Amino acid sequence: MREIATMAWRHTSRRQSRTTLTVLGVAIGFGAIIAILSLSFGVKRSVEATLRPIASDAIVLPLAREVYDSSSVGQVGIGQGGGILSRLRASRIETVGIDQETFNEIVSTPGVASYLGRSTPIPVRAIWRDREIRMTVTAIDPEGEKPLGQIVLDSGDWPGYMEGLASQILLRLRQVSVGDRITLASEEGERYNLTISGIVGQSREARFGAPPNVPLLVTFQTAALFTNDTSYSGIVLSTSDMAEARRVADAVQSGYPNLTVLTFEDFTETIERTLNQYSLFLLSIGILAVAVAALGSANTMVVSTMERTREIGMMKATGAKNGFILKGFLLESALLGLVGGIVGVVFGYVGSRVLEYLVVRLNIGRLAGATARFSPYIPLWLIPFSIFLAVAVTLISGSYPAWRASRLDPVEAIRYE
Amino acid sequence: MSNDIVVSLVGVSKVYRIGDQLLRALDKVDLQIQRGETLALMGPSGSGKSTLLNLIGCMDKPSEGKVLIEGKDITSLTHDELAETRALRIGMVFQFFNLISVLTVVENVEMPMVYAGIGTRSTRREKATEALDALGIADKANRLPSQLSGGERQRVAIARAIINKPAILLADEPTGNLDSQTGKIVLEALRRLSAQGQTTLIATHDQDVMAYAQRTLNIKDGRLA
Repeated sequence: MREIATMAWRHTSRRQSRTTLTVLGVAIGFGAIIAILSLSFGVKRSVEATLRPIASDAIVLPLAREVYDSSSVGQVGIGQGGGILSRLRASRIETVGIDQETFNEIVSTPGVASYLGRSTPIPVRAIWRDREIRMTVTAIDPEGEKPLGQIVLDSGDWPGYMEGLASQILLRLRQVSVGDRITLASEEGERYNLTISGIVGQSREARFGAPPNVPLLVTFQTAALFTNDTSYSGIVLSTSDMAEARRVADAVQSGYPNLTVLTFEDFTETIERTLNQYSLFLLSIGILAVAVAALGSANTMVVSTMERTREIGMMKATGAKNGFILKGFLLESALLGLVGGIVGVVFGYVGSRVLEYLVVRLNIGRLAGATARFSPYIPLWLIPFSIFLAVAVTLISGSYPAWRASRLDPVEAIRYE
Repeated sequence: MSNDIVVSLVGVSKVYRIGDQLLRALDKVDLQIQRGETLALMGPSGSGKSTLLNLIGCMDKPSEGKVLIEGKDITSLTHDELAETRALRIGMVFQFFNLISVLTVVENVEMPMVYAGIGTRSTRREKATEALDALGIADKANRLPSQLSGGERQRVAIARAIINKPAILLADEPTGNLDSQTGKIVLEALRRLSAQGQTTLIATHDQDVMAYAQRTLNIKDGRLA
């Protein structure tokens, strides 16, 4: 075997330009696959890291429902059920918040350790340094929010009655600081002076639904000043673990079929399904590159066996068995795959960094969540696996030329010109 | 059969099909070669010299008749058994040296032992060096074939051919690709091997070979005269 390996190595290293080109072909093919997979793994990892903190949560959302609008007959609706006539009636999709009574029943579901409810955005007019702006406020329950840690305070304190928590949005819109006063007017025109109690910090980790994407957060008591109908845009039910979250979700879902109840599993399942389709598409491009590399490798081996026909004939004439010749050429193929695979890993790493740059630059890497930073990830097992696969591919592509070489007739081979 | 008969051909014919035509390269050849004998095989081009060498060298099988190497009929052997016979019982020297270009001189000489699975790496190296020494080229052991002259390459090929102490050494025009001076050196090497008792069959046009051969076989149109 040592002699076979020596011959394989020397033959391979002797034909430098051909070997280099073949190795490059294999390396590019596998580099592309590694880079593509790193993208997919990176997104997946980012999604999991993003959703991990809510692994034991169940998220309750109001179900979007179809609202018929007779004033716009003739438009085709998106809703479900009903006959053709009813579907021909115009409709629009509307999301109705969860009312207080339903909220109370849901949060008292057995297994719920703590909960977090947020109101639907409430439209208000704000008077700010003699200028009136239209914006929305969201009502939160500070006592419920505190243990969940979804809203992190940058400065100040949680809001009390007639106080407001300024979000980063408001901070970007207007220079605001703790202690500032802001006047809010209800739709009926009544004015209330609120004090800014604190500033919401930049969320270090993206968590579902946090922080609320509105300028100002107030308590439910304060919100009641501007609206009579404080409904909930969503509820986060925290439980002890993932299994409990599933049980709670099932219980809520069976009691309220008009609501959407999601768990960590539901999120990851949906995201994974989307990611898999996306990865499959990219992988097919990579596989095409590998197929081209395999053809290149096969071509190299065919040329190599043709060039060495006389040598093969002489080896057989002096006693080499078919198996010896076969092993020699297979080893050469494997060597091309091994070197190509190793270089491919390097290419893959560089490629993943380039992709990261492109993805971040093009800002399309936000599949994982609102604030999650996406970064390609190459799991350790992918390195030996890719090298193994590169060796396997070149072995398969080199098997026919190797077999043909081993079956050469020694008399014919020695005469070969 | 006597132990002294190394090669025996009984009614051997070899027919090649070229397109629709059949070419009879050998026609009912009978031949016996004694151990230690040196034979010169003479004949014009296309007379069947190489075909005869290929059959004795177990590289081909006859269309008719039997080829026995040390009493063993090669016509019934499998591919691997033929390869083993070639490695252990036959030594081949070609006109164009046919050395493995990527292996050094000593590695080339070792190869028939590697094919036959003989010895350890160190014993193989030792034997190969001895063979090279016997042919006066031990100092070139670590060179590549491309760094040697034609005569030196042919002597390396002879060393490779005799490394397993074959029953018969077959040489196909061993000086055909060498100048007369170098050819003489190669023939001298073959003559010395013959003198040491190596059974040798040399296909040649060289009159010098006939001078030291104990028997000259003339072949014409596939028949021994």
